[in-house]
Amino acid sequence: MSQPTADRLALLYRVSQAFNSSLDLDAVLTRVMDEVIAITRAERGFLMLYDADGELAFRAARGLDRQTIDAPEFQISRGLVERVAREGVPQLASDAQSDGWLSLRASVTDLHLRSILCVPLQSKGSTLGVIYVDNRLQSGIFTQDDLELLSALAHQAAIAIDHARLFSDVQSKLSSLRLLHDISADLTSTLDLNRVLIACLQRVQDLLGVATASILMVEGDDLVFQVAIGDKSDQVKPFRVPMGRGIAGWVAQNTRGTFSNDVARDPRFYHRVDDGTGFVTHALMAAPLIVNERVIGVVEVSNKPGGFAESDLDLLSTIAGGAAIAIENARLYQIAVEKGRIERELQVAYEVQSSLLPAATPKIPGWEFAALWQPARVVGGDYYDFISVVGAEHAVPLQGIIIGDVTDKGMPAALFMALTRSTVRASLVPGRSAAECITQANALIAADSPNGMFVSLFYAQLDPTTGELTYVNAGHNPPLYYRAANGTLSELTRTGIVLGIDAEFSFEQRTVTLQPGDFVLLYTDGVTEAADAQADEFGVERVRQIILNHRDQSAGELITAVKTELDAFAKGVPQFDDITMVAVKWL
Amino acid sequence: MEIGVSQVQGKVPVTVLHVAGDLNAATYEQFQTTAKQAIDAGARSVLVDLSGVHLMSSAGMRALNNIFHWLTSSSAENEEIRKGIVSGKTKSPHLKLLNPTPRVLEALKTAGFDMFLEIHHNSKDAVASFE
Repeated sequence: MSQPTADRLALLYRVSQAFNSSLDLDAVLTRVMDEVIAITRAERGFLMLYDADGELAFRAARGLDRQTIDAPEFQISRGLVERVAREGVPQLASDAQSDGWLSLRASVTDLHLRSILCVPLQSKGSTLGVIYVDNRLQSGIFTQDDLELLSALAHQAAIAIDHARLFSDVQSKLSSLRLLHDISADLTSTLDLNRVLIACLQRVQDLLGVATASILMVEGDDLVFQVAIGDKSDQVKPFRVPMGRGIAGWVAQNTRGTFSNDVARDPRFYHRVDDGTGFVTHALMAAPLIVNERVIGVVEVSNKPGGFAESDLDLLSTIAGGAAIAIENARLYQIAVEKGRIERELQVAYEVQSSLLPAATPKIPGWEFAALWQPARVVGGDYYDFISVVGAEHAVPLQGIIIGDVTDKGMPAALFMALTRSTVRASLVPGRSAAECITQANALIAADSPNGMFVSLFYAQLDPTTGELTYVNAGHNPPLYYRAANGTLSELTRTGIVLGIDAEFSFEQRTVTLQPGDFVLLYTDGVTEAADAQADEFGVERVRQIILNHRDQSAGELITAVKTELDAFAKGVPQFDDITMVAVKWL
Repeated sequence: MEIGVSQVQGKVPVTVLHVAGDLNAATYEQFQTTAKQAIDAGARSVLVDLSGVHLMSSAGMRALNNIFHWLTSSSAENEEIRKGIVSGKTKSPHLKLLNPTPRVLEALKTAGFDMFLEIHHNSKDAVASFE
């Protein structure tokens, strides 16, 4: 074996070692070119590979003194390279100047190329690229042996390139998977939306090497910056990007991602943010955040060194998908938290309102008092009250009995109910008649009544020694008065208008005298207007019948009987209005 | 609930609000908004035709209360009217009701709304009563 042959075998060995020891494609290719140029005595050489777009691109270019050749595409014969790549057949030109079609190529004659060797890089039947070496000074420098050697080397290199590409692909996928895993771990580990999004953006920034990353959310017809990281990110918050304007607006409107590596020439670019922050955007990439087929925002990154590629957009789109889910989860969580907060507040409101109701019913020998209060929602506009009062012409304390029903339901009614209760209590001035007290209460309530709200109220003061019940009915459902003596029910009808219409209204009072066995049932319209599934109302007639049927029972049992029949009537139809009842019975 | 608005000429121009359906918590705002628009457009005499109203809850009455107050501003003339109303001598000259069903009439009476709102059962007489 001649020395040159031994050198060549050694070269093949070294190259295959290099291929096996490293999966860094560029490092391998550079090494290959250095070895090839040294062994063939070429002046210079390069290696080209097809890129993703099917174009041949330089991957390793070397001169004899290992200097990188500047802009080699202008100095070599592109035609030869293209032919080798196209036909997959190696080319050896010992004297290119006189070699058939080669001599016609402008670069061959202009550059006075003497010797050219070009072999295809083939793996699994397809051409990945070419290896090219030449010498501008000497003709006949390359031999058939060189051609075979280079072909053998190219074959090994092609396999190595295939492996390295596969490895790179796996590595990139692994890297993406790791990123996605990390992001989804972030997404599930915290429900603080902005923290999640910033963590997400930081990973995007690390992976893509971008200068800035931000998430804009749709708000009406604009996109507003929710979170941003990178240069000038603290200044972008006030900016709004109109839908359809800018790259982000375009993405939101077209529901698909895009990138621009030269925004200065992209008519979609929105200059305002740069103008306002002083940041200079060169390249932008954005992907939509989509929830239930609706764009809720856009994730945007800028200025990646070398520009953005389709694979970057794929990655950003995948991350955007995860981020959109995170945002939606956080939003649902916020709603749940808010709901929980409102429920807790309502619970407190219920407790406050309940505390405004009497803790116990009056204990007066010979008398029974009972009450039921059940708001339709957690809180309500109904109330009742028991209060000891000093009458105008009475030596003994009287028992005040109140039932009220505020227009509206829920919190507004509850607040108005609290106002009414305090006002009525404050108006029950000792020595004044029931009518005077309620006239006073009306004046105060009308002065504070918001938005036409009013309250119907029945106020009675009972002298437990005589059974005298003096009452003011301010527009309230007439309480039912049972007379045991003749077994009849009558109504304690209106003596004035509801409270809150006008401060100047005055009220009258009436008196009935109860006897042992008599009772009075006060109720709100939540009882009589309760509806069943057919929207039929419970009605006052049913109430009358029930209490007549239970006339010999206690005050508490009267209320229980009405409520039991009411529930049976409604058969699970949700309670629409507050239900309140008060019963007073002389045993 | 549906509301129709028409103009009738009596001694003065009268705006008639024809209400059909329930006047309750779900509908009262629509009712009072329609009335407010008419008042803002210059209506001074409003007749509410309640013949198509099956149910009036306290929310419906709240709307009537609001409309009554919007039509009764704090001018000297209206101060006079208020005094007449609260003393029981007169009723609202600017807001009147027409043909409530028995059930709605009962609700209005229970709350005392008949104490300050005239309730008519004849359209011609109702329109003619506005001065």
